[in-house]
Amino acid sequence: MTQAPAVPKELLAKAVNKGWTSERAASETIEVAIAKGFSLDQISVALDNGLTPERAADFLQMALSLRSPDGNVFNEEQSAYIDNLKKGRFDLEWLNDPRPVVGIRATMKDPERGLTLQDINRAYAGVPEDAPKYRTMAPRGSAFDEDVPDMGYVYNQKYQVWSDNVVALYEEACARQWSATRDIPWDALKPLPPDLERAQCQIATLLTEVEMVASDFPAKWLWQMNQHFHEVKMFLCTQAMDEARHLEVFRKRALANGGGLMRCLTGTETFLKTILHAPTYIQGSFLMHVLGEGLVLDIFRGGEFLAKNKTEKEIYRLCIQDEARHVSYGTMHLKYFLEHHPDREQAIAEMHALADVAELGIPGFLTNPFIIEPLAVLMGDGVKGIDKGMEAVRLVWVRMREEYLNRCELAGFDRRHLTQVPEQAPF
Amino acid sequence: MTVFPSVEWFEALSARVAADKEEFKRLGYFDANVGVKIDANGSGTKGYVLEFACYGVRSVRGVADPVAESDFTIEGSLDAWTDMVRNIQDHGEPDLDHTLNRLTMAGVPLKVVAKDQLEIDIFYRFNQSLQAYFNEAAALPTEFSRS
Repeated sequence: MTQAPAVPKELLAKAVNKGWTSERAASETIEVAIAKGFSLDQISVALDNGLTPERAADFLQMALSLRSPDGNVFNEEQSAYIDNLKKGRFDLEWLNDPRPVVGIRATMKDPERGLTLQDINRAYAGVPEDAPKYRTMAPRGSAFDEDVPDMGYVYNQKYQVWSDNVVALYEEACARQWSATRDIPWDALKPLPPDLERAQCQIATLLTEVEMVASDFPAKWLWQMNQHFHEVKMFLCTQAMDEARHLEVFRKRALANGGGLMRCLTGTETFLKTILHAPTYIQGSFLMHVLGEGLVLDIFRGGEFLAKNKTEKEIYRLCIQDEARHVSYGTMHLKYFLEHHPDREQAIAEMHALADVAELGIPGFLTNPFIIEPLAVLMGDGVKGIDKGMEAVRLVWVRMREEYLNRCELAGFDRRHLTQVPEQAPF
Repeated sequence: MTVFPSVEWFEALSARVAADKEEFKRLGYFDANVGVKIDANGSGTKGYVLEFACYGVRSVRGVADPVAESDFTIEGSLDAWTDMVRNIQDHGEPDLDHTLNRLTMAGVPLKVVAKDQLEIDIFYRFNQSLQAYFNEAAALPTEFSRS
């Protein structure tokens, strides 16, 4: 029997530095991992990614349990089952188990539309519990073993993720997907004067830059949400796909008509980082779904308004639809969160504190020359008409502010008398 | 030939949608009650509610107050509505200045109104389908009312 190599001191120090209780405990676990075939590099990366002693022990235990103690591929239970199979004896417990509810026959409300999640939820287990007991991937309404492992979900209460429109929005999202390759009339793109092309490309670059955060953001939180609320997770998957398509379509626009990818700014990246690194889901959802995507929705509307050809019209119109779904989820999630929070007053106070700061992003966004000047140039049909074009920017300012405040109000989060965002553009 | 605006005109448009179902399926289903409010050049207001369901229009009704009976309503003068429909007919589709988003964004010449922002957001969520609906006017023989 070969001896496991000694664990390097640097690796042990890293483990202790990451919160492992002692070098000795770390050494024992790491030795087991090495014996199972993991390399020192793999273990180091896992520590960098936040591997806890508990997770490491669970993982190694699972790896051990998959093999029998004597090193055979099949453990005792599997071997016994195989013996029975050879004798023609089937288990059939799944067939005779009285626990699963059977006889469910979900019916389509509208056959033309197909079998929707709403149809399914009407038939069975359609209402999620407020605080499911288990943290499992077992489907809501299924029978499952009492000792299923804890998946480590962080968001286990309905108010933390739910919105009353999420089921319908998921179906809507699936029904209204489109292709940036196939559904945009790229052949209608015609050469533009250099200033207009540059303006379109600056906006397209900004949108290529900002849209993907709305894929990264749900991806970051998805695994932390209890699968009991699968509809929310499914909707966020559609959002991730939508935003991937937005990145795609604006990158294509920037590179398809003689222009190119233009300049990205530190300020924009800072705001994106704020969303991506928001400490809680509700804070990030407010920043992204309500505030950020609300602003971008108006940029999309402005983009359609100012489009110089059918290609751009179509791009912006399709993006408007996607973005509005995300904003609708965010608005109704904020409403649900605040209405069902166990300490509503405290929750509202915390959200106001966040909004006091985050809203300053609106004037920041709309005094950014890399955003408003391209819009004004497009509106004014060139740099010569930029003064006239600023009218459109003033309009966008008023709309963004108003629609944002309307959404907050609808969510039971009145910001109208608290916001410091000026009612009119200060230029 | 049907007269714009009238229940019959919107029904004829809806019939064209039914005949062009594959296109509307491609865009995805559209569930909303859409109000149309037309200020008939000083001779009163005409109101309609178009009930969109799945890939078509289930019903068209003439109503006194479309805002009260719809998820959102697009309102404007008869001149503005006529200009939009004529433009669609002249070009086979709206030109760059006559799409629904373009006409409504500034609140003039058309405006989207609703009870709350969530309902206005429905206009955004289904914008492409609603645009496709009005684009069907391109081939609909129409007589334009002056009041």
